[in-house]
Amino acid sequence: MAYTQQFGRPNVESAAVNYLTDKDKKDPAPNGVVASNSDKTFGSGVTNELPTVTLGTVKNTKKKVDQPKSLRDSILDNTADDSYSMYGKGVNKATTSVVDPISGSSSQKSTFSSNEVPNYSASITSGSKGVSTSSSRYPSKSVMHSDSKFAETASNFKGITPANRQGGFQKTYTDKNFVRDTKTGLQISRIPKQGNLVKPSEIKTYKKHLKDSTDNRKVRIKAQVYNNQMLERSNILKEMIKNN
Amino acid sequence: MKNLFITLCLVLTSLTLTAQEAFNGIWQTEDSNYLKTILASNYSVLQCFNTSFNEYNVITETIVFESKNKFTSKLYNPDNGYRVTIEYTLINKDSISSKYTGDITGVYGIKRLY
Repeated sequence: MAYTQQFGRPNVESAAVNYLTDKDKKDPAPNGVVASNSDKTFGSGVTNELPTVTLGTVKNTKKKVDQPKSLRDSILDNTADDSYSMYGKGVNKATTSVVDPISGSSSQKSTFSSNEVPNYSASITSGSKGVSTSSSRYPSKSVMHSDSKFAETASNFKGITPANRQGGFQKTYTDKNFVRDTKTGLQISRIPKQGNLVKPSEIKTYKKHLKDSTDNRKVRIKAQVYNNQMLERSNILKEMIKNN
Repeated sequence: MKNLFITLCLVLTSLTLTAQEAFNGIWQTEDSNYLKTILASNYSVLQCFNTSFNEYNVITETIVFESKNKFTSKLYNPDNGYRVTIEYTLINKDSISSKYTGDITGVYGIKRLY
């Protein structure tokens, strides 16, 4: 498109203006230069339509710096909470390699032992919060206790989640013998003993329990991250108030 | 005296025959998911094979020796080249002791399922 200068300095000249005002000039055709795959500035397969710029020479030479882990990642990496694990705290799992005397094939065999029944509870800063149990069979206590460091945040966490529907607990937990309903203590499924066959229904229950454990842990981690963020923000606010 | 001797022979023969037939049945070996089936008549152990409903596999054994309350078989699993010799000894009507030699060595208890 032709361009006529109508304002500014009358005798201004520039290559760009000349180019735009030259009616015979056409847009340059793509020259087919493709950026290299190793070029970090441009994605591969980009057609260079600017012949004066050599894409190959434009490199991202900025040194990569490992970012510090987020709080969430740190928690996920370093603080696995096994107090709600499938077999519960205090239940020891030992895995040994066993050779089938008939087929000669080896397999892993797990044995479980326990000397204590794990206690579950949620403690909060202002007193004790627990799950009331309606079962006379297990547990005998009306409030279950947990020494999980996430229990506190889980109890304080607001919102509808699989975990806090149960008052900060996951739906099921395990003692040395059974998978049980957290709220009622009722048996849902047995924990297999050495040499016992495992029924499909039991496997289904374990899977459900494991999923619930995992979901619950995620919720507790999320809650802890949230609480820590709130704490940091409140501290910053306090500092600002103090300084002003 | 002669009658007593004949009677004793008959009793011993009867006991021997009963012992062989006592192997007849389906058995469960400890530490194995295979069910062992032993077919035994009044006179001898006819066949012995192992079935796994987990591995969908059947492994047969070749009987190489028989005595009153014992028999020996050879087992070869072509899937992994596992080869053992098993000596079965009848403990009572519901349990057998099996002594493994070859690729694995040990004594395993076997309980009757059927």
